[in-house]
Amino acid sequence: MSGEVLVSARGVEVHFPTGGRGFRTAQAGVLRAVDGVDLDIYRGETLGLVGESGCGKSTLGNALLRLVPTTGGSIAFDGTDITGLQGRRIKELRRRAGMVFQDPFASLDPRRTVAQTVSEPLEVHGLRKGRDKAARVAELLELVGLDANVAGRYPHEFSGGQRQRVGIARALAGEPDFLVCDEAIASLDVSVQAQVLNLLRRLQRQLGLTLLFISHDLSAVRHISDRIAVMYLGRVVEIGPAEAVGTDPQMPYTQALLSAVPLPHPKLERERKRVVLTGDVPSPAAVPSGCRFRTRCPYAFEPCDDVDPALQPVGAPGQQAACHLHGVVGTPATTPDGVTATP
Amino acid sequence: MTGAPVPPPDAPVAGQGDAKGTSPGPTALRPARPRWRETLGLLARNPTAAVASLVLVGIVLMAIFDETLAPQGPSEVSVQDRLQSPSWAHPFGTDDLGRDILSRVILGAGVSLRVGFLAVGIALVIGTLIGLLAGFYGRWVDDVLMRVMDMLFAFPAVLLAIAVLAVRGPGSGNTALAIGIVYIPIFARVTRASVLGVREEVYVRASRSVGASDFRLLTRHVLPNAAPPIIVQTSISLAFAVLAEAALSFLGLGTQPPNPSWGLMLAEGRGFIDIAWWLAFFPGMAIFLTVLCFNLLGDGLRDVLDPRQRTLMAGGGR
Repeated sequence: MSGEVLVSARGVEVHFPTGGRGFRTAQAGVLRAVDGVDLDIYRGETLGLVGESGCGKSTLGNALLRLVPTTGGSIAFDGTDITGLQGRRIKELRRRAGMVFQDPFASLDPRRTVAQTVSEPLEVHGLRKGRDKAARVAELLELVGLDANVAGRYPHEFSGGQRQRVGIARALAGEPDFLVCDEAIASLDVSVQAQVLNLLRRLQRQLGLTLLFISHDLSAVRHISDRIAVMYLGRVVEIGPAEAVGTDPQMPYTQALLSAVPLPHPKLERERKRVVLTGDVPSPAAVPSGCRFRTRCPYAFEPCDDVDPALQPVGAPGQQAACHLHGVVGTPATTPDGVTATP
Repeated sequence: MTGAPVPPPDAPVAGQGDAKGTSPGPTALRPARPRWRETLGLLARNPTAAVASLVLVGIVLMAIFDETLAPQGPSEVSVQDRLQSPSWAHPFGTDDLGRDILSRVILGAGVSLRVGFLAVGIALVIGTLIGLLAGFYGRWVDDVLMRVMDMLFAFPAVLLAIAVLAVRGPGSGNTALAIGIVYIPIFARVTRASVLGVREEVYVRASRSVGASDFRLLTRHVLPNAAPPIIVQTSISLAFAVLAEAALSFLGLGTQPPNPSWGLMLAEGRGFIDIAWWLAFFPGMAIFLTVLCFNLLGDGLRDVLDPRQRTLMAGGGR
């Protein structure tokens, strides 16, 4: 992993209007799926992105590839701001940045053969034609550990793990630099999860890919990632080297997440201290003022109500957390639309 | 840079189980068996649909070779042979002008089918295009297109057809145009409903994520996957178009005498129903049989075109 930043997000927001659409109904509210994310992804690294369902991690992954429009902030891909890209330039982005989807049963067109699916990027970008195309498809299938002669088969003839390999082959066809794996192993059997996880790890090293690995499975993320970012309610609340975040988390939310991971040792499991969160995740349509985690935080104190914490360096080198326990840093709430929620 | 233990690199595990076995060759980009042939194969296993298809093929062949098949010309008048009941000389009898009804039924097939196919063709092309755009783009495109379709739909079909024919004059071509316009909203709605489901599919998003254009998404992914209900609707609409042609001809707005059309013959035979039933009976049976077969074929296609059901019906063996 080099020190060069490949993808850089600054204050990225993805807000969805709730309620009616168009001119017929007045806009009822705003759902803040992603709400001010700062994130740098270095070339050649695997960044794990974890968080509960609904915290905005998938939306962020989609936004980084311009598959979901951002409503604020900027995203730079290899030095180019991609938030305003159009036409040809966005097509080039699509070639250089791919996505592996969660459900391999839904992400392959049932009416197209494996070869047709895998060769789609080659056709779209005019990369290979005729015999070269077929050869490239065979090469890609072998790269992901499939037999090259499955090219003429339809998706329904494959198992979940094999389908996911086809999905990975499609994502790699355009020789991308950056791959977003959006819960890529969540729908697979546990035994197959490990295989696909190791495949991704191998491909990342072999091809020098930059990987954003989105998952709610902390163990899987720790296994594959160089660094881990933790999201809560549309914001990155802690980020750092996988080892540091995984063993010495600095943000109470990360501590709670980690203590929910089962330990494969009965004695350790019995003796460890669990941080159990109370209450539910607030709705992203009504984000609490100040620190967005304060409504469930066991350590919440006065500044948490008013000051929105910024990421600050704490713990290991490269580790950052957004928490006032490490000193009050952040923007005071001017309560423009911050909804006060009481614990 | 992590301290985590490095697991062994994954061994290639694929190819086990169902990934191996029969294969179309190492570099085949096309499936071993074209899909339409598979569809035909499955259709043949559905006895009702198979029989219906055979009868329809027979009717179409009859319409193509009508002049050779018909024992007499359609307008050969023979006053001394008028209103004869079915006999060996005239199996379907003769009408009030002594014309051979069998010949007229055979020659009428061409008129009825041509109008049916043309009408459904017009509705299919325009309606599908409108439904595709409305369903895929949504928002104001959907609002505008579908409101226009609603207006067209709210208009009584026969009244609309009469209006078209009043402007353009009666005749087979204009009848087809009138029926086609009436059926556009049906195809637009069926297509839109189907597209609404398909456009949310992950594989459409996946194709977009590798850079596919809207045109490619629509033609390669959305339309093929949205097609089954449209194909079924086509088959059923053919039945209704044949009926509509009969109805308009019956009203005197469709095919004009002395051209033979099943609907027109029905209308002409109506006046003699109590003394010569065969005048209306045989063209009526021809309409009935054609419409029934198109409907049965439509039902059969509906069962066969579901890709998930397809595997079940094929018995998993391939």
